[in-house]
Amino acid sequence: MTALGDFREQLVQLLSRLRRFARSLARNAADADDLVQLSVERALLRWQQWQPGSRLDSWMFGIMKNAWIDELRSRQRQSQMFLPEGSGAEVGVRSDERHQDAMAIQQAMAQLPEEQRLTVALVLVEGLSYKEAAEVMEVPIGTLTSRLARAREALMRQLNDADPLRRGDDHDTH
Amino acid sequence: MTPTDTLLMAYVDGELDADARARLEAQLANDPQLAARVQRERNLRARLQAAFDGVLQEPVPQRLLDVVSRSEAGVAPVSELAARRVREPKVARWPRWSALAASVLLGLILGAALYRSQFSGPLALRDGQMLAQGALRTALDTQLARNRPASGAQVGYSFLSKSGDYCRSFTLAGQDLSGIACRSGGQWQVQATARPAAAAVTGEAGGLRMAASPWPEALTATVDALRAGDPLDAEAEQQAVQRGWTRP
Repeated sequence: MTALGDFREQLVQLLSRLRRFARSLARNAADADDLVQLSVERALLRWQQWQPGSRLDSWMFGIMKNAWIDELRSRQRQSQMFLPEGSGAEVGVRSDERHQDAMAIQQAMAQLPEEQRLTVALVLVEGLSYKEAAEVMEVPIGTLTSRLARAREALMRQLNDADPLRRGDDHDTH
Repeated sequence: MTPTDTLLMAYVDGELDADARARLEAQLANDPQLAARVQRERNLRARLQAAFDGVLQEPVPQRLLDVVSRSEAGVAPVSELAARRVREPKVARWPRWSALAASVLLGLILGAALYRSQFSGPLALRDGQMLAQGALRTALDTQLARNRPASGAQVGYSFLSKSGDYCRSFTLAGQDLSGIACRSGGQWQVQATARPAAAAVTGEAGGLRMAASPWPEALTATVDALRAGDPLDAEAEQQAVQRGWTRP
């Protein structure tokens, strides 16, 4: 198989995870898949910059992060920054408890500043190490961990009422 | 001392080294409140994962699969390419459209020079198509890669193009020209040509060009843009010669 053929094959294997990462950034499934598409196109244009043997997932997340930020900036210019509530593709499809919780999580994620949402998506959803995530975000590890700490705090605050596992006893001192 | 949130977070995220982890776990065993804080962090992680994992079970939309398999692949800057060649000498470089365009342009320039000898040269222009003629045409028609001569028109390898035509690479040893020709309409249409890489000249031994002259980078891109699969093996090549390069 050619180097490019091999690269495309590895991308195919990654698509599900790229979709998940996109889903944790964009609130609706169609936007998320558009982001994946755009990122794959960009990745193929510069596929030779990827070093075989290094992590393709991290490399792709970096491209997606930049594509997403570009997208937000252009939306901001078009004043379409805020999608209407409940524009997610899953609305009304399921109503079981797990789905309810997923909706609550997505709502809480949507409230985060973009840098924090990206950080949460990389570390907590995609399971990257701090070092890998810092490289994707192009920030020092200290910046990454402080964003992560703030994001967690905000998420826990948001999810306080909806968390079936919480005892409702805590009062954040921060 | 009470561990900081950052420390608890690093613990839950698996970022602590063995020593720090052991110290914290010893504290956790004796401090239910601390254990509850850790549990909160764990719960958040688990809920986030559960919230987004559903997408992994969904079939990937066909349009995304199509984008991966069909999007055009790009060109790396030359300096980077050179660096990569040093790093991984065995990896073939595949398609780059701008390289293809450059090789076509170069091919037209070189081709025009060769074409002056309209009736005796290896190439002829007809209706805007550069066609192989004379010894080159004969070589493309009949030469097997394993019987490649030491001089004159040498055929490299053969492959099927995406449009279903047979294509062959060739080198005109006496004229410092390599190219790709595809069989179409009973003719060998030259798709692109380029000068062999400079190493071909420095690789000379006793004034004789070494048999394995480096294949021009630009043509590698052309081949990959054209080809539908791997090069023909010796048997398939021989059968194609016998069929006069028509598809079975």
